[in-house]
Amino acid sequence: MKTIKSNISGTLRRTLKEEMEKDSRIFLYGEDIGDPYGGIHRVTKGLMTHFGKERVMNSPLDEVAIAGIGVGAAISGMRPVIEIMYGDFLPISMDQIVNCAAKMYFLSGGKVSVPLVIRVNYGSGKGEGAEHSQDPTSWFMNFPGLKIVAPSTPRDAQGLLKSSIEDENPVLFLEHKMLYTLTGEILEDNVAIPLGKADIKREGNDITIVTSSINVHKSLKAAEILKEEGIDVEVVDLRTIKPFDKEAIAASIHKTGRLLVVEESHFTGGWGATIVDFVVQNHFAHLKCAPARLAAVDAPLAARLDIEASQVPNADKIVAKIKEMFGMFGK
Amino acid sequence: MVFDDNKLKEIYYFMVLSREYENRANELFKNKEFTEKPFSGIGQEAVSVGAVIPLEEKDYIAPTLRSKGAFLAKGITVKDCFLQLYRKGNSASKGLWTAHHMGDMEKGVILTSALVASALPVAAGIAMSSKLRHTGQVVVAYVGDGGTSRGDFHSAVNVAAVHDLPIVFVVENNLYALSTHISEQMKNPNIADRAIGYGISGATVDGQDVIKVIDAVDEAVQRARNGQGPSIIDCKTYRFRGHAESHDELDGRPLDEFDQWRQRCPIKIFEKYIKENSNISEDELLKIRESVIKEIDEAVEFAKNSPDPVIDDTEKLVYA
Repeated sequence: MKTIKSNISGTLRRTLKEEMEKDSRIFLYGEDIGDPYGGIHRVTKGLMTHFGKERVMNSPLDEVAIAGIGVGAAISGMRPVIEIMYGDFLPISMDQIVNCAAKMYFLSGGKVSVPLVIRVNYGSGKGEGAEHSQDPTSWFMNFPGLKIVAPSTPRDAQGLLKSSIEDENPVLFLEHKMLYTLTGEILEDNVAIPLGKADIKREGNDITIVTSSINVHKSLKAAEILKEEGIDVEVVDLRTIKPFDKEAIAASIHKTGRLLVVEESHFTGGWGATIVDFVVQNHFAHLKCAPARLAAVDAPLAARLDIEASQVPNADKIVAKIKEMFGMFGK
Repeated sequence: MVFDDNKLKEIYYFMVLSREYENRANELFKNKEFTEKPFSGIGQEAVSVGAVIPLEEKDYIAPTLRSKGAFLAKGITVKDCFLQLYRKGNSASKGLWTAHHMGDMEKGVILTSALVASALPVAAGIAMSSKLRHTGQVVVAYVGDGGTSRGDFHSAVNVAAVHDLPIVFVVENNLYALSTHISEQMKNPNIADRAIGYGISGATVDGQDVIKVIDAVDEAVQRARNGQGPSIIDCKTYRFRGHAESHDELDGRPLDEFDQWRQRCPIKIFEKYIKENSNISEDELLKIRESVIKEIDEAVEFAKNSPDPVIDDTEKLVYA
């Protein structure tokens, strides 16, 4: 298949455009997504000019209204893709998303579905501070009815966004703010990547890292360092965090016998604990050592780059944790 | 709006149906036939039914749990309601949800969240969908006086105003939110005054007079349908029973206030209107009342004899 080079930001724009061209029910709604501004990370730039103001609309400054418009439109024949300007603002929309959207299919006896995509940028790395750097995944992990998707590469972003738009359920589509400029090969003609399917980003035999998004890259970096130490790391990129790919995780654990989960959520109540629990409950016999987990500290993220960096996982911390798991202490 | 005798009988039918359905549901609840606590809208039938009458079949409503007349006037049957109350397997929600928040998109009834006022932004979203699809559909969204304190009311009205969405906000202003009097809820009890702030139309209506409610809502519905945006209609009404059927009738309210409002039964007021403005006989009205009771009897019987749900794994019902 023919490929082209693109960064995640451009890939998302291109994919939105393609999907909107094919399906007139799709419209975009959010703060400042129109032209000339084109959205906080410019993902929607040019789309209002191309499609007009009935397909791409600027909303008032109100995450409740944005979410409500999305839910209502989704249950009455449209396929909205709403943008919440920062993942940190999602608590404002939470009632609309978890009570109105996520439960609608169940409570309607399977008669009303909610094909809503909620795009947000999130994550640490720019020192934007406690309320502009959070990972919202774990806040939503617990609500039945939602799907949570987090691409780590341009190709994954391309295929997962298509699937998210085509999915009949509400999908929280997480775009890590540090990955917008990441370049990679995407398909000239998009092929959907199914939700709920992980991807092995690096095959290995000694230990499984289950992770997502920016931590895929930190894990790959750690894997290169650990290769020199004779440890062969397998990196499982979940791609969809809810529902997560139980088969892929199980297959990897059966192969390696060791698990490290790396997440950007804070430690307490972080979604990674569910992955660890799943493996311990169902695949304990395959484990050669206690599973481990790296997460952000239980403190708000600092608006200062060096302190922020110390609060979240990184390649060095992953290396240290894995060496610990292999009983290799010290440098 | 001007109505012929048949239309007047239809309005009367829905008001009586609402009243008798609620009387029966309250009785069955008292006898512990089901666990869903009724939140009675008895006394508010002019608002719940009246705001639906101007609508077309293609239009939508987002009712509150107390607007039973709205569900019924829009086409949900008392059979549907009792199936839900008894949580039967063949109910709209397969036994998984309540009667007072049920929906049916084919009849234009939006399934609402149990959180007061949370349905309003969703209702605005449906109005947005109508606007984008150019279908001319209008949404009537109900809310109580208490619900207008919530930010979701502001969010929905503001977003509807700025986009000229085809939606009418009908406030069932019965002076109380559970036990909280409106004077503890807001500074200005005339909720339609807020319309000026949003740049939209507002009207205050005697909520016990179904013809007045219909006229006010009809004007707002036409405005909405013509792309002139949303309205707030403040309908002054009163709950003839307590907040919930587990409470007593008076429910902490002053007796003189209660007695005064009880003298303004919306069904009796409408009977007077019918007498003075139509050729409908007393006998015809009696026949309607009798057929409503029969309809309710049959619906209860049907529901009681319906099967319980058989669900082995609720997780399978979560994702579309």
